[in-house]
Amino acid sequence: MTMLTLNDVGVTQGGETLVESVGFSVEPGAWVGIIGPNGAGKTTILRAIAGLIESSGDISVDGKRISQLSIKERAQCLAMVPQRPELPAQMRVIDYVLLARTSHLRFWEMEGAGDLVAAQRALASLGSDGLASRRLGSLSGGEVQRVVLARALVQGGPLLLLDEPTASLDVGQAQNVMAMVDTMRRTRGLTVVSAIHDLTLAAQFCDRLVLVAGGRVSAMGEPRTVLTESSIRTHYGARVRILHEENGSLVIIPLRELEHLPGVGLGGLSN
Amino acid sequence: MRSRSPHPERLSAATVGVGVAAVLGIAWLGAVLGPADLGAGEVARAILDRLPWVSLDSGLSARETDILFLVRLPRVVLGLLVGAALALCGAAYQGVFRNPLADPYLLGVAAGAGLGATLAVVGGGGSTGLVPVAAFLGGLGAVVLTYFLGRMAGSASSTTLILAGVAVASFLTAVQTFVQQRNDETLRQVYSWILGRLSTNGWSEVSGVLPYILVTSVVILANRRVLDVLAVGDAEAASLGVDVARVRIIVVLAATLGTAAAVAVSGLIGFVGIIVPHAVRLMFGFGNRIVLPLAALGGAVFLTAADIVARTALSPAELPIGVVTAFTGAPFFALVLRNARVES
Repeated sequence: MTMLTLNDVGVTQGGETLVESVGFSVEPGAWVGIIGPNGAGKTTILRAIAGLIESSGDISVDGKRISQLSIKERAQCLAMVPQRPELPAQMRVIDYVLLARTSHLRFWEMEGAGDLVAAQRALASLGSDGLASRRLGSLSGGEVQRVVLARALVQGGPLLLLDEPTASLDVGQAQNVMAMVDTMRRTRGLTVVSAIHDLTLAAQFCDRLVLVAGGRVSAMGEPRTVLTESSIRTHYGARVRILHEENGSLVIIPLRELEHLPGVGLGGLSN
Repeated sequence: MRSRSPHPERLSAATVGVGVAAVLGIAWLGAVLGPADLGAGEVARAILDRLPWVSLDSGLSARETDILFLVRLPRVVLGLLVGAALALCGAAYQGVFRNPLADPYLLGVAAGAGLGATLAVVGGGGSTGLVPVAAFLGGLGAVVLTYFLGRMAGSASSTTLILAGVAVASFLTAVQTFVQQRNDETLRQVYSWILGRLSTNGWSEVSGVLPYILVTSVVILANRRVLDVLAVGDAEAASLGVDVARVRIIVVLAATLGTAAAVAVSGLIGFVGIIVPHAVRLMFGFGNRIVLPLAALGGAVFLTAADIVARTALSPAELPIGVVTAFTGAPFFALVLRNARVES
């Protein structure tokens, strides 16, 4: 059984086709990265899976058609971390994490002791229990990402959707967040689907990659089959060198295209 | 220190207790103060005497008892109810639209009620008997119009709804101005209604608005946690499991009902719906589960206090209460803002 299946999924908004004929499936416990150039449709696919936008075709999570779930049921089976989460500056971290218990409560119910424990545990598991009393407005970029991940954990579903989780982070924070997601999925058995920009991180952390271009799936499979120097040149218009590490992971290095600069040849700087 | 505690930010029983005590205190002051001199102790005893299983001799004459129970107390209770409703509805609008400048009149209630009241005054040949009903219907009608106009634009987003509210309010205000200008002999009645005033005829106003304000309060307070979820925006709130469109319509309807009921009996009293919730936020915290209950208590205290000033400052003449709320509210708010800045 698969955790997530997309079958012939399309999204059209205002007469414009953003995504079409997208199909792939994700095994339980896997981490699948959706890669592709800007505007390729990565976020749109995630939003369609999360049920936040209308889509055609079938999307099933954990054997259930997403379109047939109520808003609450959907929130119970998947958590979405947006690229730029809204952070009410005055809200305390613990209150923010507790928001994720909403799908487990009736609208008039308040969170109980059990919910509080779940929130504190989630923060602790991400090394962020010290942040509980801080206001969201006072957090650094890395701290924000951990708090947002803690909120997703507290939501309690088996599927985690991440939209560019490392977008605004420096290289250390980015590595850290990816490692935390990896730990989360291993210890809690989560299935992760993330749109991701950084191809090296994608190659190092994801089990499989789905390369999207122009709203369609252009390639999918293990990182080493999807990420080739020619596919990156074709879809990103970038010249890169791919290093294969001894441990099997890939490193993608962008190369400067010196011949693009007027008046500078490859040896032109030696004069 | 409170800010180091890992516990969520919640309303403490002590704070609510102080709020309730403030409400009782201002109510008692409102019953004591006025042109006829009723003693503070006598008033307290007379009120306690009405409680079940309590029997006290208040020492008030029959006439004084009538003044207390048929003139002062209805007005005090009306002030408490209207103040609580306006502040609670203002706070609810601010929460549901995530807009700190939202007030209870945001979606056109004021303009619709103003038009309704003007038509009732003009149509009634200057009599004001139908004004509450007409204002109530006008206010509700305006918000329904705003809602459908917003829906026509194809989206239930808060920006569309607020813009629709601006359009409806401008249109209805234009109609109201036109009608008023064609019938300038009624200008005075309409103007005095627009300035806002608490006037009672026995308990009829109180019993008229009480059911609406109760329903409004229960619905809004029941949604206080969900309103906190809306603080992260529509898309995220939906992904957390909130039916955003449904919560918005329910809270807006409840707030509109409460506002329209308040406006119907008291005219357009400004400032309460925006000042009180903000003062509460700056003093006690930002979550809706803190702001909503305290705004209701604070609004009740603030409006009753303003009414005491309105009827005693130039006694026996009476100031329009809307003038008092604006006159005292603005400096009070400046003070709260200044203190908040010093603390931060």
